[in-house]
Amino acid sequence: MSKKKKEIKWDRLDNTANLFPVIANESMTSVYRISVTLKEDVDGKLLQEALDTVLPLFDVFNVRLKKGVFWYYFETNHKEAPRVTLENTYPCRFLSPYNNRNYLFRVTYYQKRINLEVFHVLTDGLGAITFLKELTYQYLRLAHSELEGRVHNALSSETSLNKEDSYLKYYKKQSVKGYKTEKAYKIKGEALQPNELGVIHGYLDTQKLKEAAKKRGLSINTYLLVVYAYSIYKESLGSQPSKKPICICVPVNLRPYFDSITTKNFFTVVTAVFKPTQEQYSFEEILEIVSKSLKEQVNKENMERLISYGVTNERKLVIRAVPLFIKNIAVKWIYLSSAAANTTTMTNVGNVEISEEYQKYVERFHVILSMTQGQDMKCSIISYQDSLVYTFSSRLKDTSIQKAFFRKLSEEGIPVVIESNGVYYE
Amino acid sequence: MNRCIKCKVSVENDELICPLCHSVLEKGDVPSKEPMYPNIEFDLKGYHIAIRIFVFSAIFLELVLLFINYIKTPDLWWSVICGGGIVFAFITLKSTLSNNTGHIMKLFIQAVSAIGLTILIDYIVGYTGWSVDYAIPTTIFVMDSLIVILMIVNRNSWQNYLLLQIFMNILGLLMVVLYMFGVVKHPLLNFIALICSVVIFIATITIGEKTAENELKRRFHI
Repeated sequence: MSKKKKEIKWDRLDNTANLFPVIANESMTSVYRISVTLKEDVDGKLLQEALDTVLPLFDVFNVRLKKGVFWYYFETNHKEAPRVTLENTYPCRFLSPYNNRNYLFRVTYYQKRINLEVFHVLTDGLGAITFLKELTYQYLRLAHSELEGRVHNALSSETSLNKEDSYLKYYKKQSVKGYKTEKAYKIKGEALQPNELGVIHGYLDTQKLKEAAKKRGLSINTYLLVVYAYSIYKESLGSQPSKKPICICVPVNLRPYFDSITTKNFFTVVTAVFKPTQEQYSFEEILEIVSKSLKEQVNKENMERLISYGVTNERKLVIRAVPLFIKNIAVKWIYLSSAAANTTTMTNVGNVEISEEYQKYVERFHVILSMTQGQDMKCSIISYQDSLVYTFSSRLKDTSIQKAFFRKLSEEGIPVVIESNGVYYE
Repeated sequence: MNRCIKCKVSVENDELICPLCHSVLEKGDVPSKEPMYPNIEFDLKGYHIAIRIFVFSAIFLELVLLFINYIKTPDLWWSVICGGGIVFAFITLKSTLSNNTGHIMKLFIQAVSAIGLTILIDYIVGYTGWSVDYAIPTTIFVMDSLIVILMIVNRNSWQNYLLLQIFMNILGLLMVVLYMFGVVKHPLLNFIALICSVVIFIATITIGEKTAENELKRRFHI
């Protein structure tokens, strides 16, 4: 092994990442899954070979998590790449920093699907997609000799390996208030078995969705958010008034706002709020309230304000010099109080673009989120070509919100095809 | 692909019941796809069961011991020592089985728990100070020896043990301070333990040079 290879590089965690090692455990894993479904069965050995080749090129993934006296930090992981295994557990299981050869992600496969499960401390959905795309390209190059000569046997030119901390780069020092802590309505019900996660994917036609959203003067994302809020109101609240508002967290990718290409975390969260003060709101009324609530928050000034809140606190010397174990107690307390202010989460990873040469091998993508404190149901969106996949992940046995959601879309004239992970049949 | 006429959705895999409303599906014309997820045999984790059984047995045992102690020998609270032993065993079991704790942290937890247990025993049997005079420096010796052995065994990552070494130095210094305040009566073993820890630390820094320096920079970055 060369001397250069043994060099231990280290890096600080980004502003958001500092939260995840503190709150993650077996039941609240902070792990999400992004998977790609191919048009052919996946060969585990080739996938391992592809991972062995690609991993050393991605500094953001090629790390282990270490504890310092004041902060967590990343250190280059010189161990072999984690073992690629056949999927044999529920999605988004806990990723211990002390197992899995100390890597903070895992790669599994099942039939035609390649799963990348990532501990959020490493990166957000955009960073994970970049890695998964390159892993898939490498796999396809190994599996299809006909690609030789047509594509370069290297990372594609659209891939960013930038790992700047964009929170630090783009924050402006200002005095700002934190996230609100008013308690939100919680979706409750009988839980599945511990560690079980129910998944329902809905396959939707992007064009049809666009038309339905346009008819209401909304983007696809806001439209689906409104349908989700409406479904919670109808099924969980029974169309009754509630003292606590339905608050849906919407993670926002900050890269387009600040012209960043980092592969580390760079997102913030806004909250769409709907407080039903009377009975029987119509879909149109909820649409008005939710879209207005979102519109007020999604602008560059608010994004700057939100990142400044986190970074300004982190930069204070008084806070920096506090030992990690005390910081962890404070971070956990702040997290638990802010978690009470959210009902659920809906995230949109966006549209995945695949290089033309590889498109004929790729069928679709999926995203699955794990549960967090007080949020027993979450939704995610990812689209590829002309299909959008809307995924519910939940640790509740009841599927009435999912039912109301897909029935509403059908009513709106959008054809729906669903698929589950089988949990709801047991 | 089967279809739910109530939800007006198609179900992609070959299911007979709608996962949304649990109605029987109508047979469709388009062929269904194979299930996309494996059939997972649910495994209620043995770890959680072991912990629960242990906690229940421990509480029951301690209550019985407290009762016997109170009836038979109320002048000497030996059952509290047993309780301390049970807590020590619980911490050992939990940290050993936990997959979210590294072996260095496990060692640290063991050392701190062992020190706590010896002080408790000393206190219960009438406090003569043997815990601070002999037991704690012995723990420091044992930990120093373990650190050296582990650094040799895991020589590719020897620098990972630097923080534990620093902790042993601080603990040794604390014992000297306690001697100055009269808590430690027989300081010889404590002095030797401190010297031993300091020597190991200085040797590591000196031999480790840049690697040790970088490790300390990483560990102490603010």
